[in-house]
Amino acid sequence: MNRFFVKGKTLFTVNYSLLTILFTLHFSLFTLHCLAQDQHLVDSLQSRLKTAKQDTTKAKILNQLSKAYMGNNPDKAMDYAKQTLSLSEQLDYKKGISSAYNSMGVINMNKGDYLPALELVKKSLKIQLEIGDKNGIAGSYGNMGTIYSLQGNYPEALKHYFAALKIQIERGNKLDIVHSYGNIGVLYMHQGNYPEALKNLYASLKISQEIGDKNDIAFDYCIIGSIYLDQGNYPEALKNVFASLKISQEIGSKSIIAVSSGSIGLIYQDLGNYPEALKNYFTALKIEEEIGGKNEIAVTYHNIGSIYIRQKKYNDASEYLKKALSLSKEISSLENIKYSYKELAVLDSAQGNFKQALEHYKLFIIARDSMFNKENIKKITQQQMQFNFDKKQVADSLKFEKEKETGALKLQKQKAFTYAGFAGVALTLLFLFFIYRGFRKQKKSNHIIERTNQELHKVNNELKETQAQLVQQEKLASLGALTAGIAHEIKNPLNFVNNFAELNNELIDELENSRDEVEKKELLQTIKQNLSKINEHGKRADGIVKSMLEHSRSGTGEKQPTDINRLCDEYLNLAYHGMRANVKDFNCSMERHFAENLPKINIVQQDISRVLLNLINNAFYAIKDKPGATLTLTTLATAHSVIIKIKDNGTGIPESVKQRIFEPFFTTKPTGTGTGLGLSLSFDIVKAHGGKIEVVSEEGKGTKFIITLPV
Amino acid sequence: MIKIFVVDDEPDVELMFRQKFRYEIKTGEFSLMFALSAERALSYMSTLEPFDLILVLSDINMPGMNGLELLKRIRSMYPDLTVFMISAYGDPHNQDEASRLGASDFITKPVDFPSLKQRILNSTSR
Repeated sequence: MNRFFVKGKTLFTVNYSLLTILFTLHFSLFTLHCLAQDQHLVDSLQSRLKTAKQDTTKAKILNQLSKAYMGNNPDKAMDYAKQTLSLSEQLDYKKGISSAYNSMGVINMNKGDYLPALELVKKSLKIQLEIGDKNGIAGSYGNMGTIYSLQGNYPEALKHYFAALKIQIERGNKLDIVHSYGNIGVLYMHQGNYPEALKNLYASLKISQEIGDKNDIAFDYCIIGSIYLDQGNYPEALKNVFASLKISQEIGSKSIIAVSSGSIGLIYQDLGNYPEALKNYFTALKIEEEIGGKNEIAVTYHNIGSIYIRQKKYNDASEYLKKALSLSKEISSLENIKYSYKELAVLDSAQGNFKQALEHYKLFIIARDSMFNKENIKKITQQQMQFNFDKKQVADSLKFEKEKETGALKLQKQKAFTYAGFAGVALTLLFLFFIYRGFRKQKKSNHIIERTNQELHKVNNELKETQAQLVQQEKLASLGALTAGIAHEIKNPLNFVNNFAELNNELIDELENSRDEVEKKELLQTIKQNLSKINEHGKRADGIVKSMLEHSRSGTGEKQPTDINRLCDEYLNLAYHGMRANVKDFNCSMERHFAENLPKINIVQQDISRVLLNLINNAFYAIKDKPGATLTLTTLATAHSVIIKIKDNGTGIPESVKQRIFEPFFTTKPTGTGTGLGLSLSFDIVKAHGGKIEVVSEEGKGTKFIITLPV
Repeated sequence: MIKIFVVDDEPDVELMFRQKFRYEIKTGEFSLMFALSAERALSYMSTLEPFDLILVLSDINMPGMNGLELLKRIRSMYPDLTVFMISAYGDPHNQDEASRLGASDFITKPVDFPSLKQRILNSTSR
């Protein structure tokens, strides 16, 4: 048996089996919110159903029942969905009709019947658009995204997910945002873009922990585990998948138990621990057969077959692979069929049955080539998207792609050698067949690339829009935290304005009544002094409002020569008062070491002030519970740059956290306190100014952020 | 004469108080002293004789040592001194804390000067 070939196969199995399952599952989650069949819920719905009149309430109960059964009993779920539909049609209850179509779509989807699923969800969407049911629209977009991704149409999938996310962010519906981030993450994972995938999944996990939705927490852990598995990081993979399994067992969510077990199986398979792998596959299979997800069952059959090949139990292997193949044909999953043939070819050659191996291999090639459309789209999307977001990343990914291709080529060559010994003639035929296919591919692909590019352009624009919205959200969030500080800052000058104006009124009366020239002169002086104080404090209030507006304004600001010392001073005060207002008993000493003769530098003021605010706020949080807390703000000038140092003697940043602090959505603050975007945006802003942010930190001793800006 | 020591980090507070209480100062009813931080207030107070001071009026929100901490220290060093706290945040937490630490009164910004005068007179006549 050719070892190299087998290894390559293993990797393929991992990718394909996990993702198909994960997609399906998340899809269900999207509409279900709760996969586990909650017996208590079912019972209470059933009893309410008995007493319900033939009205919209009854339709709602029926649909809830359909959803409650969806995860574990699709037939019952479909029955209730149909009842919902007929009652809603009788009542002309539009929302009920759309919900019923949606549920039916999801059930079809779970069964692997994608085309009817898509039709049903589209029907649902049409009604929702008519009646302006925004939550429903978002849900349908999300479901369509999942169906498209299952069909391998990634541009359409992303487009729909982002459309869903946009509405959900507008409506602040956290649970749905959790699912959209999750779906987008899974899509990135499918494309091999692991950093983006992890970023989105951690965003999803964070919010699901915030709202305490255990289903989603379990699910997010599970996918995070699979991403680590794809990257070959087995310890992290196991940690996350076991976390998922534990929670899903706690809440009795069969679907997630099945996926977690399947994932654990894949990890053990990769680690070469076949008995453990097999044990977990059978656990997964038992549940899958109960629930009836054909796609999942086919994948698990396939995985079990693969293990049996490695254990040289060829009869068992043959049985499971054939079961996988026939089930895959039943649900017309080309992807599954392709891998089944490939694995059968491996089995045949392992048994010395080379003629049949060649037959199976040919069938694999045919299946693979008919999938060409899908895979091509996937590849182009991946490259294009990364190009738009990060040119460096795309360079890496292209390199990776190339290596993968070279690897694949090597595999083919080695395979060719094996066959050459046994079936030279057949190989020549196969070779010709390849060349013929190659020509056809080339022709097809030009056309596809053109069409895909148009799609990509659209998707990219929408991505940009969503990104811009997130940035704006972060701005507003930090503005909210500042409001109290601003209120304090603005109240003091206004108080002076009022008092000095009042005093001047009194003093003018006195002046009018005074006969004493010396006293008159003194009074006039005081009045004048008060007027200049009024002016001074009026300007102070004006400045605060201005900087507040600048802070929240979206879009790109203009660069202007700025006194960094002044900016640092202003924002240190603002942050301090904000902190005082938000955190009980907060206090600290602040040291300012500002360099004299600091040259003015060209910066976008509102951007750099955001950076200062973020870093100062973080420093305050780090020292808030520490006696003798001190924040030191230093400015320095070098020949070509201005340096700002923000130092605290707080808790410090552990090494493991330090590596991640600039990642979007990464936060160590209690849930709901931070958006996790502050440092990542700060990093981007400083980078856009041609500068850099560095961090030096020692746990327990404190942290120093160093911003370098070019002159 | 009631000697009042005002502690606030805003420099123009002095100008404002001196004008608002100009009659009281002129007639010798009040005499005012100012410090821009709690630390400075403490070091200044340590140079005074106990009878030089009758009432301290302190802001709560100040950089460095805050007003509540100052109140605590004053209580331990000069138990008989009357202390009023002033704050822009009239929140119950600060107010409770101030009265727990022994403040005689709690004034919210913006300061109503006639009422402040009345409160000062009431608390010092006792």
